[in-house]
Amino acid sequence: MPVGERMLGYYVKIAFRNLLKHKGYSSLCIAGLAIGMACVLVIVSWVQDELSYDGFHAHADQIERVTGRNWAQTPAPLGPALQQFLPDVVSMARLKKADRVFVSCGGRGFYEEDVVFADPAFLAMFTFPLLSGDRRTALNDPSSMVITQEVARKYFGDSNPMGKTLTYDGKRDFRVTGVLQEMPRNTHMRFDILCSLQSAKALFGEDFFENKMNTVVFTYVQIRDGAEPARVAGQMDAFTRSYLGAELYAINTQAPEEWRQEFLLQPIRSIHLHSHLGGEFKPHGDATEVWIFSIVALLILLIACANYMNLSIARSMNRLKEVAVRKVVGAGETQIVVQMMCESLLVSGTAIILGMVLSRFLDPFLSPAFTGKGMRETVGAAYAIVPIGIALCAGVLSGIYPALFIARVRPVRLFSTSILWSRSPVNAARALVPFQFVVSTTLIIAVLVISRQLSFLQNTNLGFEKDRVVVVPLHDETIRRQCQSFKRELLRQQGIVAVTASSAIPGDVRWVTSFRWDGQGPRDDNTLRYIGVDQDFISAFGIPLLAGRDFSVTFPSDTVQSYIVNESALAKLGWQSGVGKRLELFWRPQGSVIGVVRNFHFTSLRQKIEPLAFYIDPHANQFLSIRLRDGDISGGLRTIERTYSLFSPNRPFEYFFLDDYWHKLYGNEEDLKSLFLEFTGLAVFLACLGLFGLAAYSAERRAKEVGIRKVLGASVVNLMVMLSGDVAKWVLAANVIAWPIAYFAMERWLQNFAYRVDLGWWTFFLAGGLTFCVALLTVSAQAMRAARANPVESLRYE
Amino acid sequence: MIRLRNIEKFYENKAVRTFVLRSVSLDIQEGEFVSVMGPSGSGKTTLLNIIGMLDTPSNGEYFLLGEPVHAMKEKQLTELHKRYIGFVFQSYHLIDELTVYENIEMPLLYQKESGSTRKGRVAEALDRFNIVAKKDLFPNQLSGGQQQLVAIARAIIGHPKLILADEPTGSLHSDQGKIIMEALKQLNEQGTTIVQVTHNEQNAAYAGRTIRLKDGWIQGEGSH
Repeated sequence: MPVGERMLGYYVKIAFRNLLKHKGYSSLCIAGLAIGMACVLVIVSWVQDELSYDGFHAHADQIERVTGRNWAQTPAPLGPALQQFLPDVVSMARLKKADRVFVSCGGRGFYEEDVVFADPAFLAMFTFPLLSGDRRTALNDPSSMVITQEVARKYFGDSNPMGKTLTYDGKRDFRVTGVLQEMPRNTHMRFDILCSLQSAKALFGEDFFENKMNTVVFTYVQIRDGAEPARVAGQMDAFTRSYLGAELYAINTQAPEEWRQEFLLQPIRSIHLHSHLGGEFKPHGDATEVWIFSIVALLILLIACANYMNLSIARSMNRLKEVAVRKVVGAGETQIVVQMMCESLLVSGTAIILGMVLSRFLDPFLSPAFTGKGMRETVGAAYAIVPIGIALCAGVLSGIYPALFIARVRPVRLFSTSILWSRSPVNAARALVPFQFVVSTTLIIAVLVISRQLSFLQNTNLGFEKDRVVVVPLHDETIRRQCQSFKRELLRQQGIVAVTASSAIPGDVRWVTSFRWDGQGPRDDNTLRYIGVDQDFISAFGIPLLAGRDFSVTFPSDTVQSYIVNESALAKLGWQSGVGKRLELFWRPQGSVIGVVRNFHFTSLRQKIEPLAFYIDPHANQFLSIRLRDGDISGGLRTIERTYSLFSPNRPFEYFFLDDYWHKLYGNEEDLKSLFLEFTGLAVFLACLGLFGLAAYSAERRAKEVGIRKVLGASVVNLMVMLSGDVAKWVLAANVIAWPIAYFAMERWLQNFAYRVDLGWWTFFLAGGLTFCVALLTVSAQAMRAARANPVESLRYE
Repeated sequence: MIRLRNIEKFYENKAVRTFVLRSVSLDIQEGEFVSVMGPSGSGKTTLLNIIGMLDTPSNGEYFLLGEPVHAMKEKQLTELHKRYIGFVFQSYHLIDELTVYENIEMPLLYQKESGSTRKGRVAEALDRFNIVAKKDLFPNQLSGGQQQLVAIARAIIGHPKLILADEPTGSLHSDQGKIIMEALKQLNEQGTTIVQVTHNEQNAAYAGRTIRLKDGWIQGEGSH
């Protein structure tokens, strides 16, 4: 066996024996590294996943999406026009996303969220794995449909779905011509059912394929292999001129920039992280988040390595004599360094294996942002590089400094440990502990602020009554037509207090349109948010009326000419009272304001309360909101369901509670809080680990001093205070650095909310106090042990 | 074999120089057994460390087998040390994580000897010191005398020309100490040069010559 391999085996053997001999210390080192590595692995997996979106398609690098300047969708005729105009475009496919739709088979049906219509070329361009069917022809027929395995099981059980029929919205039958494997998560699209876009005319209007302005489809083009994407993109201006025609193009060029029509190409691999257009398939990721969490992963790894370095430095001071002996019997510097690096790499190698196992178990406890993205998602030879790389980095980072220090000291000095204590690299390692506490303190402050803001968001009085309100979305045309009858029937039931129909619910009022009003200036912003309601909306939600009156059936003109506005609208429109003022929605006859309500939150508290106008709309029947009597919520739900089935016997009953809906509005903040809580726990744990190691080293180094002081009369308390004194300084230093960082970061985050809490000085003091207590607890065990040790042991001549 | 000329060793603290060795000049021939004696703080161990290349003199010249050690770089010193010198300490300084066999074998690993060579030499050393039965034990399972025998075995395994022993019997009782001194005497009779530091006159008598140090100076020499 070559000498090098022999020595390596020898070093590994020694490393194992050292680890086993000092089980407590070894466990601490490995555990700290493993936990840090587990978190890093989960984050790295997530980052890898985020970066991998849409990369799995065979032609991923050649496919571009055509978008507007601010909107992801384009008119339907645009795609074919572009393919004709640009010779470098070899294929084109469009997707039309359907709204939530009822799909049925025989007597069974479900509401499906992810139904998409696609051009026949779609499955050839995008290589989603097809289990059955021919991807070149599966969508040729206007009545063809491709479904995922999960959908197939839902409707057809275990039988072969090929050739079977599903009915779309009770209107049109589609035949299953293909079955897809489950949709991969790492794609910007989302569909369970693909219908042929050839049926769009019949379902979405005769002019679907002719209307050059309505942005209704996602358009994708495949560029010829070898063509430069930048050169192709450079031709889009010429295409826009050709597409719009000379006259429209001229008008377009003179329009304000924000209104100008512009078509752009977007590589599909950049969509997930870099596209923030309106009208996307689904919410995207954010490149900034990827950066942030990559930095977090690096910080965690550095902290874990710093801890291990602290502990190994403290430990290495006890091995000075061993190193001296080895040098005396002939070991060179390189051999000492290699031996110590072997030990360090053995620890980091063990830690990464443990970390990989831990990352699987950590998955369910980390926020949903990371759930399911543990190492099981990153199987494959390429991804094995990540854990190996982490283990190597950690092992080298943590072990190289103490190894080099000890290897270079002359043997005679290694025998004189008292000289070395004062010059050891532990002094440098001490700087790492305050750094860890800076990170921990910052995170604790962040968690406190996020928790307070979340509590504020969830508990603030919204200005209307949302408790015990059940919202029933009315998707079915049949029940919508009978909305008022449904409402009347409900009001006859016990347990129902109030019922109201509306086009939107408080929490999701999105629509904005142009208004005209008394006193309007030529340059005034003429947009208002609006909501179509019935006569009972204001009273059903308990919205306080400040002036005028509510809508009423005793005033038939309310149906056509009356508006109610909120206080913000008064301010915007420049009115003192508003009642009696003229107001006009551009598609309605001129009307007047009959009442003013107090401002209430109708969108999340991230936004200020905007001006809002209510009007009576007999077709405002997208949602029925039902307030239940207090005491028997489940009974009330059963009543509603029973009544619903009278009016829509063939559709499943769906509902949600309005307070749950509001709670979910802040899902992102909940996730953020969970994530920060978890990382804070980790940072604090690792910081305490480092502190523990340093405390152990300190106690050992000062054992002789402690012994002498004890002999001279110092009490255990005196000695504990002396040994713990450094901790107070470190925590103070950490807080001095952490507070401004946390202040700026949290102040910046809170700016995302129109309504927010104050940072509050007590948050910072609480965080500082917590870190101090945790640090003190960590070192007190070591300090007490050292203080209680028998001075005879430490003062014995060696 | 060893030639020291005007060797000085001092430590500087601000403007103050604390001398440990002052103008030490001596010659030691190959095959000699020399004892270095003197009161505590006289510089005996420092002298031994300088001869053993564990420390460097502040001034002066040191020649080992004609080679100018004082002018050599670190790597050359390590090679020279590895080849020619074995060290025996008062506190044995065995490595607790290694067995007796592995402790003795260690210098041969650093000298990159082959497996068969190592095996042969270690077996020979174990046999010589009658500790074959202890080869798989760890140092904490041995008596002081046995540990020192292992340390001597380790020191001679590379067939060094020179053995430096710093109070080799300092941690042992007299019977054990006698065994150690007999072992050293035997090595000397076989041609190994030995320089020992000792407080013990009886141990010093094993040597052919004694050098006495006081306050860093050579006070005198005597023969036995």
